[in-house]
Amino acid sequence: MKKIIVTFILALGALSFTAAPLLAAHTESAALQQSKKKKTETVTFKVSMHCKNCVKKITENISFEKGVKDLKVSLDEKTVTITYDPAKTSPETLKKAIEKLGYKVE
Amino acid sequence: MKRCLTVCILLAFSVVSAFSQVDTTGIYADRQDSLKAAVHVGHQKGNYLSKIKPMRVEVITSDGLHKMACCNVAESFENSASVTVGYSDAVTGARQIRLLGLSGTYTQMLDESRPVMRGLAAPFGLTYMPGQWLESIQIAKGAASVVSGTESITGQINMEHRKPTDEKPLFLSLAGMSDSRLSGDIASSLQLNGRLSTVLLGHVDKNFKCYDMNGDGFMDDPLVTQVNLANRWFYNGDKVQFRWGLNAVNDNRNGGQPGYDRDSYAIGRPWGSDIHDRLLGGYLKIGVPLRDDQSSSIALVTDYTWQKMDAAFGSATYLARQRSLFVNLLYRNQVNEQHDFTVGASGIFDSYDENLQRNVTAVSNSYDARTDLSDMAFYGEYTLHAHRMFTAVTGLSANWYGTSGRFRLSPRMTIKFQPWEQLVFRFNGGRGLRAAMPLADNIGVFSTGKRWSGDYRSHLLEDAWIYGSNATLYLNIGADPENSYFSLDFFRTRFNQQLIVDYEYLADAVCFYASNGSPAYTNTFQADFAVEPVERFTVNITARYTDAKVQLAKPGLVERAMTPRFKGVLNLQYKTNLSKWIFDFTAALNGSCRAYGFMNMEGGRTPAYPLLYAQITRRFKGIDLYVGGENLTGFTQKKVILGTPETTSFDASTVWGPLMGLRINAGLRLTIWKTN
Repeated sequence: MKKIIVTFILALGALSFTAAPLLAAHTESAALQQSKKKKTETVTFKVSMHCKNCVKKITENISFEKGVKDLKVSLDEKTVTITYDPAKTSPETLKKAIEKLGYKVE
Repeated sequence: MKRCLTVCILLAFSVVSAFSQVDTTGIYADRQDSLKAAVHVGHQKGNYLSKIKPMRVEVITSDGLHKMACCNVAESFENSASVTVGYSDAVTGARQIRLLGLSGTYTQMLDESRPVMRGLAAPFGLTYMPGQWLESIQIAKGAASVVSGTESITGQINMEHRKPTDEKPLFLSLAGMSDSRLSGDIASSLQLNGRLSTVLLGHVDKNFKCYDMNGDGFMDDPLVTQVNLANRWFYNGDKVQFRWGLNAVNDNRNGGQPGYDRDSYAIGRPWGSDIHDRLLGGYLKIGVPLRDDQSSSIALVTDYTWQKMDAAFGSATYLARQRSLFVNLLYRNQVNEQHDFTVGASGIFDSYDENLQRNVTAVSNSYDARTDLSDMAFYGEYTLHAHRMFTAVTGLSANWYGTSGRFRLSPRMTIKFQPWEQLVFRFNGGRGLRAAMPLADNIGVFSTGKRWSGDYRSHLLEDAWIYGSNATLYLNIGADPENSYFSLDFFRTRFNQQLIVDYEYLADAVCFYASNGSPAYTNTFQADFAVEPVERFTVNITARYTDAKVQLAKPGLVERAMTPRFKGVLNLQYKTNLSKWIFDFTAALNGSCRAYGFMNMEGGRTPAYPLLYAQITRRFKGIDLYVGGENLTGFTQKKVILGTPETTSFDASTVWGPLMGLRINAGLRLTIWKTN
């Protein structure tokens, strides 16, 4: 029993060591994002989505478009808000990417 | 054990108190309660408690199903504390779940609301359902709706498949394990026109080599070759909807000592098992909306299953065939926002042909028989919604069991009371009834050298009452305040009638007998805590305590053997922005069980043991690559095989721990989305 408790504590200890840099990395990445935010722009599209599968399809595809830094999808408002790097992509390119998935974009 | 519990609780609280941030998740899959929220990419939770369902329902989303290299549905429960997954024995590879401290046979398995994995399919059914075919799993604890029948005692597990309407013309999954196991899945959803769509599903699973890591002469896992195919259709007409489909499974598994040959087997030669299982199934669902807003409808659900099992264990053979038909006709009417009712008639008809040849210590257990079972029911269910605060679901099913000529009433009730947004109380109770399958439910008895005594042929009507409650407090903390909660459950199951499988009454026999009202009960307490302390980092902690007791013929009222008293699970997940990297870690602490006397365990109990899992996933557009490890500490049960085959001391069914040590897995998932 002692061995088990020791193993479990060690595992959680190892985990906290893993989690600490992870959290630190998160804080750093947040700071980095903050500094990078100056270089990014945001665009919001009205998109003809109608269900949760549309949300999934858009998020699974647009997240991996070149230059996309952040993405918010609202089914209720039927909007897709994209934060992007203007040096790598443009609202026109992003609009075309959503249209290619089969949606009307305004 | 107490020290173990204390340490775990202290660690849990230290982890919890270390974080005090926020989250905002919207989960689009299966989350009606958060559809209005803006959705940040990749914030779908793996496991969560449903806020809107009247019953206490834990949902494992597709995200949760990807937390491990789930080749089949049994493995997808590894990070759930509500469900425990174990082996039925050390030979066949049959996986058995436990819910509320009782065997999975008391949990009704549903495939999109149709009862499945019944009868002969029970021992291996969980391994016949590929995890990659599924979109989500819902685990409902307690007395579930009467609409799907009354066979659920401890709860229901409903599996939602990939849909024909999914805009994914191709999904491909390949996975490999360090123990030489390879599995592959393919799914293709095609929309043929505006009304008709279909999904084709395929799965293969094979291990090429078996290992004997503990050196007991028996393979740790059987050699398995499995092929599954399914085709599902959906027709969406103006005034009618049709859903229909077919599925087929072919499974071969050889376990035990290497070199076992069923045809030339004789005492002294290698002992093992050789099981060939074939299953075919088909279903049809017809739904007719009676109003334009679909608030009233008539539906017909039919399901047919044919299964043939050809099994050999040493010199014993078990040839069995099952044909089952499920029919359910129901009418639903949502009168207004307050009142909703469903009435219907259903029937389950099972026909079993069994041929058993088994001779142990000059005693024959052989028989050749046909059994027809039927369960016909009329049922009704009424739902009252009083504002957003109160929901009551009251159901009653009147069942006629044709073979035994018995009539039974099964009342069920669920109350959800939400005095304010952050606090939900649930109360649930009802009666469950099912016909026992003595051999299929207890497939491990084939892997013993003991003779069988008593009612191992009869399909006793098991009868139990379950009642329980749940309180969930939404904490409004962390990066996702809506989905941070602390939940407490208590459930009690009490059997009026249960088939007892007693390994302890006689030294040379496994005894089957009815409990006939003698005490057989289980109390389960569970606490769940979920939080997203910082954005995209989720923490789930669960602790469960089980008090399961049964009155046996000789020792009297004892703790149910091989039932862990305690289980704790810690699940951590971190996703980078846009979910391009996902890190998963699961730690489980499994408590000790009462061991059978003949196992000669120190203190009469099995030891508690930890299980650790980790996985890293890298996501690209349409492709996920992952590598992971299972049982990272490499803990295994050392003494799995007791005695020598064909002697009364032989027993390979006393499995309480992992049979396999550390395993590394790696795989890829490819998804092609429909585009213009």
